[in-house]
Amino acid sequence: MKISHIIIIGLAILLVIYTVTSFIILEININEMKKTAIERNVTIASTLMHDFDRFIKKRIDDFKQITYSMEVQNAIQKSNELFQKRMGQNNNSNSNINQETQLEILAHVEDNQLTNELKDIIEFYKNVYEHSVIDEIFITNQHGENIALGIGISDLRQDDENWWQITKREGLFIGKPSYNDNYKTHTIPIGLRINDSAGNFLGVLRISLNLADILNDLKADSKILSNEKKTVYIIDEIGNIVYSSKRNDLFYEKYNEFEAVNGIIGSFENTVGEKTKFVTFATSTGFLDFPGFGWHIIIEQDESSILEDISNVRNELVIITIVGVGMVIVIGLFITYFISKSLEDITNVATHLSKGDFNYTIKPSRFAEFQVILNSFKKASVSIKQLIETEKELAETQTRAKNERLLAIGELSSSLAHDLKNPLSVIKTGIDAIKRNSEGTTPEIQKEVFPRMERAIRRMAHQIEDVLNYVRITPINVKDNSMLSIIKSSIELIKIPENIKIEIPKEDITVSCDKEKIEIVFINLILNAIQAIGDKAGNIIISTSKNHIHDIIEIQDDGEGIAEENMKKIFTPLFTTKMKGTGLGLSICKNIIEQHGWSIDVQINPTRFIIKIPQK
Amino acid sequence: MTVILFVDDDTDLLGLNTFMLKNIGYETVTATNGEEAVIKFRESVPDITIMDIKMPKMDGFDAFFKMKKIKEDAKIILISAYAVDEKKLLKAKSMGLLEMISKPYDFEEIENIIKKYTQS
Repeated sequence: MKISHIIIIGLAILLVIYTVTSFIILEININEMKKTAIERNVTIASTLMHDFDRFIKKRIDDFKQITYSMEVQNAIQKSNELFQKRMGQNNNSNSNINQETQLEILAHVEDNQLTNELKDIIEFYKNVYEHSVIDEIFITNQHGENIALGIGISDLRQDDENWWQITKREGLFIGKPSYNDNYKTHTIPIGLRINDSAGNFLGVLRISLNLADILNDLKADSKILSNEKKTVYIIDEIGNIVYSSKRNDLFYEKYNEFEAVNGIIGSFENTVGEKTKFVTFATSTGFLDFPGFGWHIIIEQDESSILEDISNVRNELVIITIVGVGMVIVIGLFITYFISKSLEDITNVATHLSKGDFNYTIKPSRFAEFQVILNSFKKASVSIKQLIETEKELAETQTRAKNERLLAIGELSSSLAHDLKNPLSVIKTGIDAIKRNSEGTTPEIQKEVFPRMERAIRRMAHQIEDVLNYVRITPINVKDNSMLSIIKSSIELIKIPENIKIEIPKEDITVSCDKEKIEIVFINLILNAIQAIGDKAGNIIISTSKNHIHDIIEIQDDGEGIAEENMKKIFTPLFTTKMKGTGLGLSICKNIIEQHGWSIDVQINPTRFIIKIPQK
Repeated sequence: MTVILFVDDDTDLLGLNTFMLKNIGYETVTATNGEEAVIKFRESVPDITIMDIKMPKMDGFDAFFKMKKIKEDAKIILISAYAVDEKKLLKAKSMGLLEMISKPYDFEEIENIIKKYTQS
């Protein structure tokens, strides 16, 4: 599986989670908004309904004032008295009053003054509200005779009318709004009982309120609400639309969902086709003693208008999601590219390193994490390179050493042949000398021949010893040894000439070494020093010291020094500047020292051999 | 009296040989290297020179060539221990090298050679 895929999938999952969460929150918000909007609409509907009822109540109260007016009461009183008189006159003649008589009576009973007052009232309202408030106003006496007509058309007698009887009985009549052909308008008939101060029935005030006037405030409010994309309906108790903010005419049709309008307040959803409307309603409950018409105010609002803002958000969310998916892919591809590129680089580096190409240039990565890996590779390659070079050098050194040894052994064979021939010649000549003096060993022979022969034999032995020491590298037998005792026993094995003073270290050190082999080293070095000093007086100083990593032993002499050009060659096998040297002594020393893991070096002026022993 | 220049870097061998030569009645001059040999040759003008080839500073051949330059009819015998430079040997032979003997030799051999070249 590729890292890039994981990253893309990860980002995609994040995005999906984000989107899903957003949608859920959005849905919750939508529901909340719906609820809030509906609640608001219910409140508005009920407020409108309340205001409507209060408005009507106020109108009724206004007109009630007229019934308290003394002039009205006096005029009615007068009319009532007249009526009684007339009834007394007519009692015996004809109880059935015909039309003509009625007209006559009308002319008789009509109070011009009162009529004018009623007209003034109408004028007053017109002036105040700038439209017609009252379509009809008249007053009857207690017998139902019309005594003053402010506006409109009225029969002479009203006592046969149901409304008149209700008004007389109950004090207030509020009729159903209806279209009045006479006035070409919808009116609400209202009857108000006129009482005297003692509460006795005097007559009736009849007003027909103009429905348009009553609806005026509602219309104004509806307009404002329709700006908010709400439709306001007022429907009557049987479901006829009295008014809607959709159109201006009144009572035009039945409200379709009237059955759902049930209760004082409420709401429901109405779906037609793809459109859903939220319908909220409030039912009239009247105001104080005004019982209300039982009408309903309905506010309809399209779901889309409630959710308009939200749907924008939803669209944005969709866009964000689409853009997000795109971004995820692009970012994923980018990351893929960069990471794959870097990984490819790292793989390249690793491949090159594994093939042994340590000179491959490691390009820096722009990612810190990868840089760490690259740095490790860099370090590793340097270390491996060094290791390989060290190994190579070691191998070369070993090969060279081996070759040198083989070469040296070859040369040694021929050198040994020559070097042994000299002492052999001495012995042979010595024997010749003895032969010639066969009568016995003369003192001369003893003096001139024998020591030379002895020396020749010693030389041969020494040479053979040297060669053997050089050729055969035996395993070392390491033990803790006192350096001082090794030095001392080495000196004992050598005959130190009288002209030479030898100084041994004052302080001893303990070293792990093969005692016998190290003795060979000291013997060789001391012999070299003795030979360098020769017959002159001289000193050999052996000292020990320590630095922080090595124990150091130095052997110094003040004899004839080593020529500078020979310094590098002195440890080479068979290199010698001496007449009787084998050229093996220092090679043997070096071999032994190196076998111990130590090192040996030489300094000149004065000649000083330095052996360094690493501390454990 | 016959004067012999004996040259060898091996002082024991040199000492022993001169002891023997003196015993049989020769006068000897010695040197331990080529340079010294040439100087002694010039000084003492020996009747015969017996010289080792392998020596420090100047080897027997080079000393031979110098001596021959000094005295064209110088009688010189070379002693070798083992393989020698063939070119130099041929050159030396062409220049009148009397003999070449190998180590280890019988003293009698030396004695005979000296007798052979000094009696005439």
